[in-house]
Amino acid sequence: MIETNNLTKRFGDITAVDDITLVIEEGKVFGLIGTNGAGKSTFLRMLSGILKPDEGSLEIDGMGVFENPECKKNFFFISDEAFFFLNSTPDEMARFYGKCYKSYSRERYEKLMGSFGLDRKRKISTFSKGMKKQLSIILGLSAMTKYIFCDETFDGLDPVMRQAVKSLFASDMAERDFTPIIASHNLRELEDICDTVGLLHKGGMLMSEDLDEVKGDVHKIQVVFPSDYDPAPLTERLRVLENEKRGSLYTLIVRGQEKAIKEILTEGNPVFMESLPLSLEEIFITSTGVEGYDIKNIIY
Amino acid sequence: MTSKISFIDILTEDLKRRIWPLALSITGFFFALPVLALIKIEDHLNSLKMGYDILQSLQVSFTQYTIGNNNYFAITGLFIMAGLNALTGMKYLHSRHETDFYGSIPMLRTARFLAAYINGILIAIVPFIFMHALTAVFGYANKLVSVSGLICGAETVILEVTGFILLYSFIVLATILTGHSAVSISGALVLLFAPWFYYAVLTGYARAFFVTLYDTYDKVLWYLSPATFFFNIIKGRSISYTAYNLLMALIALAVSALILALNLYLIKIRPAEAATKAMAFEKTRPVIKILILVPVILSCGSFFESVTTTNDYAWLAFGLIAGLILGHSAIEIVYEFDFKACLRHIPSGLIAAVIATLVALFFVFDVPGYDTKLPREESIESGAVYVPGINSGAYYYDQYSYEDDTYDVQGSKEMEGMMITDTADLYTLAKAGTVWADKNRWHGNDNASDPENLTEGSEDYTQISIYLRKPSGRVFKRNYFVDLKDPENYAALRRIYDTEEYKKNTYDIYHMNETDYASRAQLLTYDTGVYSDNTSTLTEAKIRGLIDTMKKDTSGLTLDYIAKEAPIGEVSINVLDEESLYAGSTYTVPLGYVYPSFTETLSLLKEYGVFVNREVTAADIDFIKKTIWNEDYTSEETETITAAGEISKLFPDLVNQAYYTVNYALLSVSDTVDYEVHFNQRLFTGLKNIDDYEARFVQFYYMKKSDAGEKQ
Repeated sequence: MIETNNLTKRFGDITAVDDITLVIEEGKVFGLIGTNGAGKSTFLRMLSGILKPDEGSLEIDGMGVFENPECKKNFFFISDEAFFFLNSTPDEMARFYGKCYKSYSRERYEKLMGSFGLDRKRKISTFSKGMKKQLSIILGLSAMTKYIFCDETFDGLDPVMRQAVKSLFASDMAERDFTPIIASHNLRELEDICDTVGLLHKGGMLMSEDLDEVKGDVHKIQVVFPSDYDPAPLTERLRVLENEKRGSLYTLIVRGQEKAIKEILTEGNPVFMESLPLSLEEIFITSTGVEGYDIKNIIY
Repeated sequence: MTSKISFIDILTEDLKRRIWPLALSITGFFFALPVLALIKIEDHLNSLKMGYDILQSLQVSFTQYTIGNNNYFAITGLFIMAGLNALTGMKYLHSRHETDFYGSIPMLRTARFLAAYINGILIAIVPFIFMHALTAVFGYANKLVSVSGLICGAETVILEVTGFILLYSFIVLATILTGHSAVSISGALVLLFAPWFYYAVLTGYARAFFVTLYDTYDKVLWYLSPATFFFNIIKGRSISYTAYNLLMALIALAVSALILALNLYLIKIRPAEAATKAMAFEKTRPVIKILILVPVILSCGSFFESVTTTNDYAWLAFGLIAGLILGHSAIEIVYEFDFKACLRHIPSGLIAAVIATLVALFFVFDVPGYDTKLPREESIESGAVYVPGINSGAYYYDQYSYEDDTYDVQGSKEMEGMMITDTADLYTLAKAGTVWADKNRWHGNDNASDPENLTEGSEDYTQISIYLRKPSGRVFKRNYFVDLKDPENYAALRRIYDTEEYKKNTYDIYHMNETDYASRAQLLTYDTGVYSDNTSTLTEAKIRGLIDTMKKDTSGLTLDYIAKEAPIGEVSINVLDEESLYAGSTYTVPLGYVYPSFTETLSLLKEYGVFVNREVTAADIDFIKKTIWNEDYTSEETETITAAGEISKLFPDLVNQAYYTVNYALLSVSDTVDYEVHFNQRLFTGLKNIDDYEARFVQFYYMKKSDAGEKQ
């Protein structure tokens, strides 16, 4: 478990991470969403023990991270622009990581390199941006650490590769004690992989929610009432977060139990009623809108 | 260490990434040592075969220029490698990607740093030592390196390696304190030369504004600056100074160890976000800025003051302001990597300006009264005086200190041992000096070495150095200008000169028998300027006898006498070098000048078989060519004097050019007229080998000034 308390980091006059208190549970994919400059990288660099927090505390499995190799053995950090030694090949990097991480699996590395079709003897400097991303993911997964911290890792991967990586994460989570923490500015990239999402804005954590819980509490319902019916008395009885009307079709995002909501709406004898899945974007809109943020300015 | 990766692994992995500096090191030292040695071996062996040189001198030359401290290629290589290895080894601190990489893996930052630090030393030192040893083997196999040469080579290795580690440690410190490689280079220069720069600036001000400055050339300061210390220790000493060399090496290692400890501490607290920034530690920014800015402002002020001849103080003020603006802007631009940042952080610039101005005013207004104050007369226990214009130039080589390869401040050797306890005369001279200084210090000229720059008619003034010692051990040292035509001043100096204490510390002949020169003397030479003769049929007793006789004659000298009479010759001995690298060769030790009153010395020289013929008569001279120069020395008028009567009248008032400066404080000559004296063969009758070197048929003379007016 990763736990931060009032974590703060400043660069001169700029507060990059502001008073973040957060718990990241094991065995779940944690997504860190925010625009460029929101503080995602700074947060991950503190999590990786690169930066020392100015205030607050940070523990991974009960251990401090900064200058603590014992703690650092438990995670692998994939930076937004991964570093490779000058003129090195994937094999040379793998050998180096093999010396650093006792959990490192050479077999897994070889298997993944084969699956991804990357040349182990070729100089990394000749790789494309996407290939370098793939290589850093392979090296990270081969380290077999408990945690993996990914900073904009999916950026630069093609959709097929992105899906493959997601599958790898999923299978690792199924097979071993594995917790990925993924930072991205792209909401849709994390939509189908994250269990928990934290929304960062200007260094502060606007929200951190378990997606299943959010989805259980907020519902998107499309409903068509008879043409002479005014549904206002019904919607006033509901906690409507968003109400959109197109012709006779009402699209409502409502907080509450799905069954209770549908019972109230049924009182208007709707000719059509259907529940739709909520996108991450809609969850943020509904979750943060009440707190006075214009979410569209944050996530776009 | 708790991480899995061992320190050896970190060391090996780091070395793998530093192949090119290693290759450069191997190649560079290969050419600078064995290849150079092979070239020299071929050259020297050929020279030996052709009989151009003797083995012994070739051994000395080969040793010095290959495995010794005169191999400037190897020294330059070490200097370059110190910078290169520090910058390439620590460049990971200046890259965000690399700091992120090393910061996130299970590896202690101190371990990563130590690996880079140790490799930086090994990359330079291992090839250097190997190539050095190979060179020594080449030299020894070809008999161009002797056993003492091997010892000299080993000492050179110790000194150069420790010097390298010292330099390297400081440059590493610069890379830690900064976040950008380009700024690191500037930072390294500041760290390596800062104390020297401070010293140069402050002594520059002292020389400019303290006209009585007795320049001590404080040697300690040369050892405070890492770069100057490096050059000081690598130039090494002869093998007789092994203990000194080892002490220097130990000091260099101790300082390096301290810097390494500081580096380790800084690495622990160094923020990762420092990468790509100019300065790694925010708190040090204003401090370092002020430390750099103060001497920059002062040196700029000093520069404008020194290059201008009028309104010195206005230009000084201009220089201070210009230094502030330029220095402040440059530092802020470097700090922020932004030209527009030149006017940021004004307060720290102003603090530096205030400090620099106070320092400048301290010197300009002579706040401590350096030039004008004297210690209370009753507080003086003893003192010493040195007049450069008396017995001048006799012991030039003696000013050289083998211990630290420097020349002593003029007169310090003489005054260190001189204990004149009757201090009234010293005080009289010192007081006269302060009066002169008080009148002249406001001119703000560069230094007090030339009184003609300071006051009109000051050619009458003579430079004297004075020590006034207090019971506490403190020594008041000043360089004054005193008018010796003033009867009171002259009388004071005469009383001092005529004491045994003054003479025994001014004339080295008093101490010659305390040395073993007499037992090692190979050749005795008497040189009159007109001719020289020598003898090698010497015994230790003979030399000691000569020394005692010269000492006795010297004791008889008075100030009044040397004010009228110039020396007529000089005695020296060639002494066998038994212990240095040059063992087997000889060096010259001057015993002293001979005056006409040295009758016993002259007769003893004659007895030893040395040609002594001081009675030069008109019959010895064929003719005298007189050249009269105008004041600017741009035109001349010549006249040839051939009449024997005229020659015999003129010649006794002439002083040989070789000796007219010996007592220039007292005996001055007119140098606008020179006399080219052409001697004939008769003068040299009795000289063993008359050739161009021993008999100088043509000599230049000047006329004594007191006689010049009426006789020229």
